[in-house]
Amino acid sequence: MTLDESSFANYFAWIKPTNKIDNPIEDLLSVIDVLEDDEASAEQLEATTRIIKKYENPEFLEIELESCKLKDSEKEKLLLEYVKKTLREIEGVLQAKGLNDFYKLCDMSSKFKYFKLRVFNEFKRTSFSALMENPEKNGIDVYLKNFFETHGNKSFQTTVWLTLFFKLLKTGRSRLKGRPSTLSRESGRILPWITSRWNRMTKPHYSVLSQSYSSSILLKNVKPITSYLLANLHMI
Amino acid sequence: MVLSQEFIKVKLLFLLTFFIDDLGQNYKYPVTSVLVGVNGYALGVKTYIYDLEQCTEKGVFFYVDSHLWKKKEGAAEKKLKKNVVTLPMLEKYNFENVLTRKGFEVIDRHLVYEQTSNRVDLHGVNSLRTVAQTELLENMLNVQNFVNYYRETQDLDL
Repeated sequence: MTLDESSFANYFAWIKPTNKIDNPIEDLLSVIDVLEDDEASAEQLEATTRIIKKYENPEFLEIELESCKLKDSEKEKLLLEYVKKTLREIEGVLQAKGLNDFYKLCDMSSKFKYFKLRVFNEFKRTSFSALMENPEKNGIDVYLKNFFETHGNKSFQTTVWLTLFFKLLKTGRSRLKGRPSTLSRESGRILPWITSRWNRMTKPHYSVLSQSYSSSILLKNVKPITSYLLANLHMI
Repeated sequence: MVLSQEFIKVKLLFLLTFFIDDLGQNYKYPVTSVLVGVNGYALGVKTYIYDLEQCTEKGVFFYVDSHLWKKKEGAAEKKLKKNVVTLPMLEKYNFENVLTRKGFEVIDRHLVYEQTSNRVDLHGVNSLRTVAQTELLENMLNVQNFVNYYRETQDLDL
């Protein structure tokens, strides 16, 4: 699950370390500079000795790491509601692909290999991408399901109505030129065409992700998706 | 929709070889260390030995906490010759400054090899009293390991 900055800031807050820690690589570079320099001054040598002693001190190893927390209990409730809603939507997508047995889904032999949930625009938008093996075609099916209204759906509707308009226009023009009426023939062709496209539009919309390999979660090692997501959220 | 494997484009991995060594007696086994990154973003250092019999690579991957390696803004930059294409992974990060200045040698001292007269195997890297195949690069390239290296190789009194 990846969050953009606006979504993260909506629910989470960073806990910064109380003590500022020097960058160990910068210290290392300054030590190397002095060790390689035959003409290093006494001050530089003293500073290097201080750095070396600092790293020899075992207490220095006890450092605080930057972490994050949920802002308050109200946000926690909202987040859990969001998780439940998203899980239901994921379930719907997987069922549409014929994956309705949870144990088979998590099995090593399952065709469902990776999934990734991307949350952005202050938790208003979520997209679910998945990689599924396709042994029949010796390939990998890459799916993206957006859990929000997409521009792709709207533009597709526009395309449908524009095409319909031009088809009707063509029919009308042929009538004006005194040719035999093709309206009945055309309508016979157009209506099934509209119906098929309408059916396609109302079905869940899938599109191909060309480069969704990176940072996906390996599901093979994961038991149920629900518990996995919830566990991750509790970890956060 | 189906997208067959041959049409899936994966971003090209950027490999920069810095260090090559030959081990072995009767047969030489090349050991190579490379800095690996994608689109100027550093991923880590890969050290591997090439198995001449199996024609395979076997080795260790050192992953990095890349923000530690980023150069400070406004740091003095080298003057480059004309027609030289700069590499973001070298320009924006301090890897080159550390790895080419005995960094690879320090890593090499922590690797665990098994050598016979005909064969060399790279088992991994010493990590927390075990031999591991992956390790954090900062655990290898730290002040203590560098100081130990200089103490042993150059007899420095530190």
